[in-house]
This record gives sequence, structure tokens and C-alpha cells, in this order.
Amino acid sequence: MTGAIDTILHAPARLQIAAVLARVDEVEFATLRDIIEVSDSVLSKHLSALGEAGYVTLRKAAQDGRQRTWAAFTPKGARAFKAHMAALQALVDSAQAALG
Amino acid sequence: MTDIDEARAAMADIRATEQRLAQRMVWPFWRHLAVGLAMGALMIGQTLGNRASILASLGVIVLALVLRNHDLRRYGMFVNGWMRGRTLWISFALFALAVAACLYVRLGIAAPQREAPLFWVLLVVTVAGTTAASYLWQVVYRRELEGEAQ
Repeated sequence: MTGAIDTILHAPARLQIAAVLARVDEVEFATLRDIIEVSDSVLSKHLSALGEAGYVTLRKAAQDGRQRTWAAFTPKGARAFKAHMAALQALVDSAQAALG
Repeated sequence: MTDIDEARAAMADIRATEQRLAQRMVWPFWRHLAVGLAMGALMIGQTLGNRASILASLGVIVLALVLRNHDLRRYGMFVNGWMRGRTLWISFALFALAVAACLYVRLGIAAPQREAPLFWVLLVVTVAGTTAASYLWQVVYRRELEGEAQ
């Protein structure tokens, strides 16, 4: 794909993670896993990649005697997702315009 | 697979994700009532003098933090009222109503305000109105997620 497509957000699972993070302030790992419908290891891998890119912050905190992880968008991540969505929409719109 | 096919597939994935998210965005009635009662506490605080009105404001901030922690524990996520979209207008309306109600109680009703029937009518209307607005916020938020999922 071309244009402002963000290669970090390109993977379907990462895009779904971003779609959730764009709609909430903070989400817990297990809740995110259930919404995205992926395994713990897949979610962990993608969250790490998004974290390394500076798109996501990960916060660990004890709750009910268990260690839990909370994910949230950084401003950079939110901007990247917005730009990525605009690029996807532009591609779809251009295809529809070509079809008349 | 072309760029456009990939873009369409990605958009479909996002819509499906938002639909699943919408299914979780249901808060119990007490959660909406808490918003209304917080507004009522702010209004009553205005009738009790400066110190009490500051305490009432602090109480509302503490309540907001308690609700945030409750949401994080119970639902595994928290959504503040100032998200982009149509819900933002409802949040602005709620905020404007809070400011207007408090100002009117402070400046528009002669002290002691709690002896004026108008104050109690205004209090009931404000608590009921903000509770309803909080519920409306949830309805609009879910519709936005579901609407974008169509």
C-alpha cells in the first residue's frame, strides 16, 4: 500500500488494537484480548511492537492480588492512527470514484 | 490482493472491532444517577457558603476518581466523557448546565436559597436532567460505534 499508510499499524491485529485504544482512555490486557479475539502471546507481541514505536504506553499494576497490564494510546499513536485511517479511507474512496 | 482490497479488509476489521466494543459499553443505571447526584451536590454546595461549595467541588472530583477506578476494575477499561464525536456535544451541554445551575443558585436566588421552592424544583430538574444526559451519552456513544460498524 502507498501514501500515508503506517507500516507499524498495517498488521490487522495492531490496527484492531489501535481502533480500541482510539475509543477508550485505558484498557486492561484481558479485556483487549477478548475484544480483539487473539491469544495472549499475539496481543503481547503486538503491544510490545506498538510500545517500542512510541504509540502505546503500558502500565502494570496489582489488582485483586494479580499483576495486570493496562494499555493506552500516546498522542503520537493517536495521531498515527488518525492518519492511517485517513489513508485507508482515501484508498477506498478512490476505488469507489473509479467505479463511478 | 490489491492495495484497495487490503484497505477495505482493514476497514471491515475496524468496524467489527468497534461493534464488539459497543457491546461492552453498557453502564448500570446507578452509574448515570451518580452523575446526576454529583451535579446536585454541587448545587447544594452553592447554598452552604464558600467553604462548603469548595468541599462539594472536591467531593465531585473524588467521586469522578472513584467511578474511574470502578470502571477500570469492573469493565477493564475507562472512557472519559470528552471523546471525539457527537458525545462531545453532550459533555459540553452537561458542563454548561452544571455551571449555569450553580451560578443561578448563587446569584439568581436570594439567600437562604434552600428555603425557596424554586431551588428544590431546579435541583430535581438538574439531577434528573443530568442523569438522563449521562444515559443519552451512552446511547449516542454506542450508536456511533455501531453506526460506524455498518
